[in-house]
Amino acid sequence: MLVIVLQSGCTDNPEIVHPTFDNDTIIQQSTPLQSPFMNATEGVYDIVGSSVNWGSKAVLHWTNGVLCIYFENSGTYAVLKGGIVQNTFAFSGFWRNPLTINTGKVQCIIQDTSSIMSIIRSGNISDLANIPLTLNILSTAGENRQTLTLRYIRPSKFRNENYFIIAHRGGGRNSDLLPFSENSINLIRFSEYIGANAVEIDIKLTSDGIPILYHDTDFNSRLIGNGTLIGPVESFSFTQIRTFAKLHDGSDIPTLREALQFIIDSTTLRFVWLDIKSVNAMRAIIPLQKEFTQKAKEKNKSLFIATGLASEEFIQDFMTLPQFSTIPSIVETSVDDMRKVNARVFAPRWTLGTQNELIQTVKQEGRFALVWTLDDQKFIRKFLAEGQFNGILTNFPSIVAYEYYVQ
Amino acid sequence: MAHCLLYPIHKADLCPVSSRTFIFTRCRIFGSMRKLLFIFIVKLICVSSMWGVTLDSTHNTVFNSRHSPYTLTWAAGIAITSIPRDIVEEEINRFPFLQADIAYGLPYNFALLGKLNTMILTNRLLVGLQWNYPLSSFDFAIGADFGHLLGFVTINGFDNSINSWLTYPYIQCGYHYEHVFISARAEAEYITSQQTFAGDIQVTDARNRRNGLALSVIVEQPFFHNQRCALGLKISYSDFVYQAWPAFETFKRTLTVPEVFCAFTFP
Repeated sequence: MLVIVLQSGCTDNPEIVHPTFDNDTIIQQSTPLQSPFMNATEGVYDIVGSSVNWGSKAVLHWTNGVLCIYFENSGTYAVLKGGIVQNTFAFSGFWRNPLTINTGKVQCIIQDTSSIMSIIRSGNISDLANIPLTLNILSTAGENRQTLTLRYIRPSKFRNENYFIIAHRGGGRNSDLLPFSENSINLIRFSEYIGANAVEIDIKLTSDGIPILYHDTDFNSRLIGNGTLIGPVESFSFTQIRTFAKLHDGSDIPTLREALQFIIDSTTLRFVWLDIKSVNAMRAIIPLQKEFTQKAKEKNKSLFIATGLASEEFIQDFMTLPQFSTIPSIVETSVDDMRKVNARVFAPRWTLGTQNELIQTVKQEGRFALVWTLDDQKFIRKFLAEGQFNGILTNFPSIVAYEYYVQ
Repeated sequence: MAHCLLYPIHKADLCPVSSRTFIFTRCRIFGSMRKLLFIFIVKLICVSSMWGVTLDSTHNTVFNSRHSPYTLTWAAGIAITSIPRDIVEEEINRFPFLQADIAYGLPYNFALLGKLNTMILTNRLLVGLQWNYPLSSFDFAIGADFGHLLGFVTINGFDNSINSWLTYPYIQCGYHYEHVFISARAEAEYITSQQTFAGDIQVTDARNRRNGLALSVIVEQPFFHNQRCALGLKISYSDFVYQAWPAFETFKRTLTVPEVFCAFTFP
């Protein structure tokens, strides 16, 4: 009994071994693919043969040169890197069921490169259906578990600028056992691979007024890996936090400035939802919101940054700001409050239902409507099929990505 | 027992910090589980001194399976469960549960048992039947508890609730030495029916699902006059932990969850 107790007490989390990604020989030896190939191969695929753990369809999508596949079952995804290796298309990466600890390596090799290239040159993309895409699903140790064959069916609407798949806490919660910590720079990058085109990040303020990405009120073992600091986040200066606190993945707690700079420079994310976790952080955040909105414009990048107003308290404080009605904001409380502060976005919680009539009114006023926080596949499917929202905030972007792109 | 030392940041080293702010030194080897184990051991040692009470060794107990026919015994105490923090986060306080147990002896070594766990937002009521086979200082028992779980909580504007029927078949063995009873129990956990709701929307509907296993050890001994004190440690290995139901975890994982409880029994 004691052994069980001590063993169970060693960690709060079940063990999950995330497969290595960049050290694979295929990735190291490959030369990058050209965008015509990537654009042509994006779309909806049938899964031929055994598909017990994967579903009957998959969506294939490229993000920053990385091949991302979203499967029907539970939002299982595969993330692969690669390119041309000795006249073949070769990719290597890993797969993960986001609702369990199941994960492993995956490899994809297409020998018939000349046929694919001639199809792309001819423009008859539907002919890709004649060239099966074979995925070798491996365990984390590298043993072959299953071979999946995907066949191209049709393109999908990846370039729809009006729908947001918003990753909660920069990509997911720590309890979802992602390879990176919630609200970290690495997770923001990773969120694109798992289907997000937008992120929600949580903002706290340090004692010397620096906005940082952190969710909880206190430093605690849930978020901090080295357990050096204990107490309210807002009691510590930025220097103290940088010196003593590391996230579970070993990275630093990022500042809002670092995160926004990274989003502009290194991602294709189109929307950032700033979820303010304390009212006194608002005045430090707004100037950064304006600064980085301007920076995105200068880089000719479409990026919408908005401040979340989750309660009456936040709304009252927001309304004391000069020219508040010109600051992009997200109101979660009511349509009346949304109009009061001239918020660009109305974001009700999902338990209020699809509210189609109300959402239609919001959209007619030239605003967006988002719903939070939807994680269950059956409700995601329902909101996509019956709702009129412009986006979904979720801890499982790969589920939303599959359900949205397969429509 | 390794110690975790807490001491304030030295002002000469760092900028001023609030009095509630500390630097935490030494690694967390066993996390919160170590604290629970520590509490359990300390309480056991303290209570072991027994305040000069002379009780008949056959005196009724609640948690041990020896129950005299037509005799009612009951116990009241608290139970503290250590749920992984990454699941419950900040929204759900890890508040101790009040626990009440009742045992009523029946002929032929049968007994009726009841248990209530409550912390207002979460309430579990169990009723069970047990049969005991005594053998010298040992006794062996089999039984089953059947229960209902009801919970209501509002978190971040979500009005969540749960309605669940649960079944816990178990085997138990016990040993008594003079006034001290030690019982060990292994139980299986089944969810007969379970629905969770967010407002009016039914989020989950589970039926006839094997939920997990639990092992527990309980020490019961005289405390004061006719009272006994019981200290227990329970380790559950379950998919669904009823104390953490408001977390509505979508992620499917089996959790190892320790629970320590302390109760006083009354004849």
